[in-house]
Amino acid sequence: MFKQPDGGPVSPASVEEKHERGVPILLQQIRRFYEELARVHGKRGLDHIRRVSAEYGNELLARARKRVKENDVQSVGLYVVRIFNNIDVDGELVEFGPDRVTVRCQQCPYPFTSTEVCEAHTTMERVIVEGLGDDLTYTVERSIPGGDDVCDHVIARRKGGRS
Amino acid sequence: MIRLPESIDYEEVPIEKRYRAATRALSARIGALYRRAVDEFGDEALELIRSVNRRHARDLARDLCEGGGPRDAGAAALCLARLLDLVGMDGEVLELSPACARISVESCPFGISSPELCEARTTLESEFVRSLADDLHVEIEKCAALGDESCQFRIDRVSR
Repeated sequence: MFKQPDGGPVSPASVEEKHERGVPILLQQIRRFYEELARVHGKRGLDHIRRVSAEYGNELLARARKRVKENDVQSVGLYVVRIFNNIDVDGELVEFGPDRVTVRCQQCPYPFTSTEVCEAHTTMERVIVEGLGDDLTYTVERSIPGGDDVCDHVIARRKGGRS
Repeated sequence: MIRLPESIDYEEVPIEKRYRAATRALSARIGALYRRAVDEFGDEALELIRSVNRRHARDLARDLCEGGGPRDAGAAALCLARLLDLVGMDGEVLELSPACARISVESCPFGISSPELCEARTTLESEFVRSLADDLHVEIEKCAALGDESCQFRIDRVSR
């Protein structure tokens, strides 16, 4: 919290309001930097986003392993829901089977306008999902920046994987 | 929020915890992105960080501080403190007058330890204040990246 000289808060905003207004400020800061990096440096910029997202995903993986007790599709899918809920993504779980979970998002919280930037950024989610279960995959099957009306984040068991 | 069928057992996380987790994680991610960009692209990355933050700051000043009211150092400091508060930073306004104001931030949420990167990133705060009134000047008086115990911004009204 930020205090005034008299010790009172600088803002009367509730935590709900702060979440609703503050989190998008940081998301947009990330998106703007990505877009500029990709515009100026092209493939090298996108590779950079992938690399940093992978590193960040690996950092989170240790924490995720403690929280997700089972490495099945559903448990890992719910962990992805938890990540999305932290940043208040609007959407629903449209598929919740033993081999496939689909999280459908109505809007991109960043919001990305390029599929390449989206793909590079979601390396983090892919690293976490595939790190939690080596027979699991993470893909964005429908994508708003790609022209779809929703984003479908799919956590699935690799073909031939254990059910 | 992601809506779930009632049959699914899911432990809701309280909003306070989600807010803290999100602001900390996103700030850390921004810091990591910037640090690694400087490793990879050097001064070009610093200039990119400055230019992106300048644009972001102007939009934020317009969105968050629209409306009348004085545009002196004290008013600008309060507006900046509200922005820092929104993105989850902890700190305090130490001094508040029309001519001069000082804000202290407890620690760097971006995990930045290089003065050059700190200067590039804080283009956001400097430009935010300048967007409110172009006779205001921001100086970083203390910098955790340089070994100080906290970061401190000083805002002065400069005569033209």
